[in-house]
Amino acid sequence: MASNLFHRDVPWASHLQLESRPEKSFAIDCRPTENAFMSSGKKDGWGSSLGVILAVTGSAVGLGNFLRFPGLAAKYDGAAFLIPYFIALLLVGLPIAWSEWAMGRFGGQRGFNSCPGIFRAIWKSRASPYLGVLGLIVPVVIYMYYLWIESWCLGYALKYLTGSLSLGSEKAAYTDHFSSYVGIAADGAFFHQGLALPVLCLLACVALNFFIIYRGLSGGIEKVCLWGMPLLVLCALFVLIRVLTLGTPDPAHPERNVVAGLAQMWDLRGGVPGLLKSLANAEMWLAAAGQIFFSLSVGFGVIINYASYLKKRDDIALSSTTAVAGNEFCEVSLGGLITIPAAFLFLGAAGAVGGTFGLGFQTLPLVFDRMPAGQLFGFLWFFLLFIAAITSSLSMLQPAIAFFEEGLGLGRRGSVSLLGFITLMGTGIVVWFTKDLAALDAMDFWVGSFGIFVLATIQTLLYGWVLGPKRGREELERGALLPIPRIFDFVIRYVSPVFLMTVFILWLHQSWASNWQAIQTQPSVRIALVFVLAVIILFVLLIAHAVRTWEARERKTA
Amino acid sequence: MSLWGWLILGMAVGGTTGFLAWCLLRVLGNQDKHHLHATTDLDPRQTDREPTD
Repeated sequence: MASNLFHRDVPWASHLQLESRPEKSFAIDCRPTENAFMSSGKKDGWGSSLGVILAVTGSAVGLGNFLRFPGLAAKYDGAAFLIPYFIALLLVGLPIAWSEWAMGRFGGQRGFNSCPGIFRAIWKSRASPYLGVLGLIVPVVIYMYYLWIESWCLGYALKYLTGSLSLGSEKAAYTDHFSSYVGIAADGAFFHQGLALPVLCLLACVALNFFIIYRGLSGGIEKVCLWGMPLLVLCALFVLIRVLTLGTPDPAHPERNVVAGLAQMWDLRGGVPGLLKSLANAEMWLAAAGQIFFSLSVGFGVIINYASYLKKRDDIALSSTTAVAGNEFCEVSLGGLITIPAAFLFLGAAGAVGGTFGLGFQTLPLVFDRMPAGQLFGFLWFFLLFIAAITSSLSMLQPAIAFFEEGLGLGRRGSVSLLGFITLMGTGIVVWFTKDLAALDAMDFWVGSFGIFVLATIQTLLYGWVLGPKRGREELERGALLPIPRIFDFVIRYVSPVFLMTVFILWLHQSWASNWQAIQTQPSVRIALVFVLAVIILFVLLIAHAVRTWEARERKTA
Repeated sequence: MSLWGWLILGMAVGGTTGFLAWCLLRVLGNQDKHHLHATTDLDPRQTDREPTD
């Protein structure tokens, strides 16, 4: 039914009749609406299937794979955490990833690369492009603070390269160093350092991101990911081999050996009865689902945008599955084997816990200080985190660039400049209000978590109930190099939305109070959120303008 | 580490690594090929025969 509505309502639907023509029509180019909508001349695209796979994997693989996942697994009884983790992968991660790729290419075939345009192509409702605002806001706002974290990784890598991060064997020294590096003591403290390494690294990251994004998809993002992702894995393998060959590094603590370090991460604590007890912990299920969800970058607005640049008969089934597999490899096989065992070897069980920033920027530098050839491996570690971060941050810019190009008719330079201006203001706010990282935390909660949940739910409902399993499956199976199981249609329609909304409600219940209190008590949080609101309003107005432009073009084409 | 621990480690690490390797081999092996899985892919006029002219 949705299909009929779509074809009836769209003036240029007659072009789409080409879709039912035989193979030889496709051989030329079956993207009939492309010229009707693309005002910015040459359309961007991917150079190879491996390129798009690595770009999506690069977008998904970030600090969470190497720091957040091991931290959570260690916190929730090691191996027991993996059961809800893999269940969430099958019920939410993989199905939403498949649906996003399918919706992206569906929209791309109709001349749209941005979330508002793609949502409008799927659902002919006046509200649909405005729902797509989340597909622009989420990546753009996350970019504003993620860029800063990326600059920490670059800064730490450079400090290891020059040997200036050897601060002794006390953890307090590394905690103090991190605090002063990011200026956590007071608002504006980050800039009080003047043009020192932290500020220079931030400026370098801004320049690097916009230089690469300006070069386009195949010339910029794809090239970086084609080189960067293998380099990331190579660096991680070097660090992994180092960790696994450490034996018993401190003879005074024979219990701190590699096998015990692996057990800290992977063993069943308390055997099968302990496992059953752990599985009864609802908080662990919530953490596992959240980890899968955020790790795969689903509901991010990025995959849908990247997939829209694929050609009509490009495979998406195998490509999306490979991207998910790549992310899981980095998370489970690399992150799971490196971080916690390394921390355990030198600091014991008490030291092998912590959140992303605690483990990454305070615990591990201490570990590298005690590790033989720690300077080299410290550099490799923070360099791989930097690669993981930059391949993610690049992907966050592309959805808005695509919207500016197709919605406002801006060229690459204009789009990059406008987005550069908006994101610099946001990053400026995050970097100024550094006290207790309040602005960063606020944006991360309201956009980087809340916004992602809402967008993922909208996308799941759009795929399952508006595009429908039939058209969705047609899209997934066209050119597919991997059969998608039939049960996926049921899962994405019923199981994923229910699972997603249950986790969302539980998560909100758990985190709402503290974040709401932060709004009431911290002016810096309010300023950050007012800025986010202003950006949302700006994008809504731009979408209204884009919709008018698209409608005018459709009338002209008709 | 207990036998359970080694088993879980082997399954998780081996599984994700093997799955990625399998996917990558399929991607690299199909770079220039086109596989048909969907009814929408099938062209009734196309056959596997070589052109006769």
